Amino acid sequence: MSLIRLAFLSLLNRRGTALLTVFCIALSVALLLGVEKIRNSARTSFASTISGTDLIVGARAGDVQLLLYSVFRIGDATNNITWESYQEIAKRSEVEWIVPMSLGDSHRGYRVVGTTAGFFDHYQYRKDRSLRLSSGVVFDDLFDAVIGADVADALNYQVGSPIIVTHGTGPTGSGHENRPFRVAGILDRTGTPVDKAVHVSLEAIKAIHVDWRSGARVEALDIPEERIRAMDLTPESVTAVLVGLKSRLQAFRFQRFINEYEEEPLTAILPGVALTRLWSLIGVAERALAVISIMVVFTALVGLVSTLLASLQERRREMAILRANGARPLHIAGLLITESGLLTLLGAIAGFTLVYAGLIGLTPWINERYGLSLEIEYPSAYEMTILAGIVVAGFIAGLIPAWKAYRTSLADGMTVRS
Amino acid sequence: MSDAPARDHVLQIENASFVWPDTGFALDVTDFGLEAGERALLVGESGAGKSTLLSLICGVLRPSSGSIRVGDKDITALRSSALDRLRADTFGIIFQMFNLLPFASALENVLLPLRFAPTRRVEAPREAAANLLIRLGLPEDAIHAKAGTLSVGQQQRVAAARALIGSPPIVIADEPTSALDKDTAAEFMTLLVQEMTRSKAALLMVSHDERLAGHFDRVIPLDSIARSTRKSVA
Repeated sequence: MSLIRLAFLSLLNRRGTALLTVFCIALSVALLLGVEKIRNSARTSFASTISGTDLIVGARAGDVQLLLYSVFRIGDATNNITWESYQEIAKRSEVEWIVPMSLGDSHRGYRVVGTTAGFFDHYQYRKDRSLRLSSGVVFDDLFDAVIGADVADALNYQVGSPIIVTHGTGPTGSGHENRPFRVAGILDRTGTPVDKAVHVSLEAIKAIHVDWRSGARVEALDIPEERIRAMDLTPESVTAVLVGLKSRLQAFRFQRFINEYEEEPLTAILPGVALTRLWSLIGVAERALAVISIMVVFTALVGLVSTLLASLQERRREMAILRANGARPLHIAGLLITESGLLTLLGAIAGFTLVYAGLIGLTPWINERYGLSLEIEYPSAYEMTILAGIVVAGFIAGLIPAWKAYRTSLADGMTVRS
Repeated sequence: MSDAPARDHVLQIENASFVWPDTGFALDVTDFGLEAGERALLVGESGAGKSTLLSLICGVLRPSSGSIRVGDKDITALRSSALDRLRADTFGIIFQMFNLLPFASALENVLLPLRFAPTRRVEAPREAAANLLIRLGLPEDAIHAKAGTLSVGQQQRVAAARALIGSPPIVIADEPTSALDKDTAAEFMTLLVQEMTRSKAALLMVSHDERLAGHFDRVIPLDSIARSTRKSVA
């Protein structure tokens, strides 16, 4: 009878506590792997918030700042790009497509983005996914709005719902209530800031501001809608511009061209680079999560050790029988280490199964609900390393009860005096 | 090895003393030998030092002076790992009760010593173990039953088979029949002696039941070979 079989039979004999221990380890392993999966997918989702866009151009600003206000709609631009510069850039031969964005208004806390229909064609996320409408159409009329999935859900809007845009992005901006919009389309959920935006046409942004001067509405002007519709609604400036180039290889050269643009101070960023830089700032939380789940695994191993130690007293008879039949104290120690390792191995396998079963069951729901890009993949080498590490740690944890059993079996010999 | 004992002595004790440190109970064994294939019954009052003597013989306790020879080795001079190996190879041991790993089958319990004692390994060990169990009167359907589910009488038969497997030169039995009723005890003894004859092992049994004397070559009162004293401890 091998040591492993002996350990297995002995564990089977104490299957109640053994199962609890395995369960405990399984849960901690599942937590560790689950956190790892979510961490990875959060990082991937974040890094692919915007893709397919080669450059983002704005007024002179820091990389992260430009990324924050243009893509994440956090904070405000300090300056705009003149329409002339925009046209200048658009005319360049390297440019395949260009999408302007005008920011600065909001609707019940959700940012309003003035843009062109090209935005819906060219904005991509998660490598190559494009925006899709779940209902309605892209702007048809001057006062049409296309809203993100979160906006539609939170405010319970359908196609046709009216929208009043507020001037400014603060909670108490005065309104554009004289120029109501109508929801024309609702976008599918993307897991990106697009979900939280109200998109209107660039002309509409101009239109709701025609009777405004110096940041305040001039009541006396009150221009009727028919006259506005007849006006030239070309904006004087835009807040940021998304640029797609004919060749990616030109990105660095084109970035330098923008950064050295002489007519006005501009900044161009490569979205991927800026996203990575931003993640390195906010990724601390993600690392904290990883540390916590490692602590949980450690706790489970401590539990394993204490369970094994507690079992030693009632197993002195078993040890004495083994000793009487020729087992040396080292065999007894080996038995305890084998047990500990076996429990951890079982726990690791169970935890692993738990995570993958959970993934298979819940992934569609999680992705739909939280816009994460969880994917069911073969376990990575990294995950296997984690698992192997835990099992090795389990064997090492067995050293403590093994040492205790070694001492006890030496002292007890073949007879248990109790 | 000029003072080696007579060849046919598998066990020889001379002037071995031991004192339990906690109780001050002391045992001095002046002279005791066991010949190959001999069956000896050691009788004495409880508390007279029988278990202490067995522990000395098996090398679990070490005497403070004197010598204990097992085969041609003085075990008092052996390191504990060598002693462990010698014990596994030389002795089959049967306790009063609770001899078996309750979670393993009867057969697996019998095979247990072979795992640790290379010199006792036999060919086709499972068959050998099963045959031994059957000869010792274990019902065939009990061979693969968990030891914990067997009756006390059956458990002692399994323990006997385990002590005998691989034919160790000495079988030590510490009151193996005390937990059995009279008839079961008699049957157990008959079968055990039969197997002892077959394996040619020496049997040293400790008991306070002198009625078992008929199964043995020699009955040795403990006080004829050893002196026990109780020293006062501070």
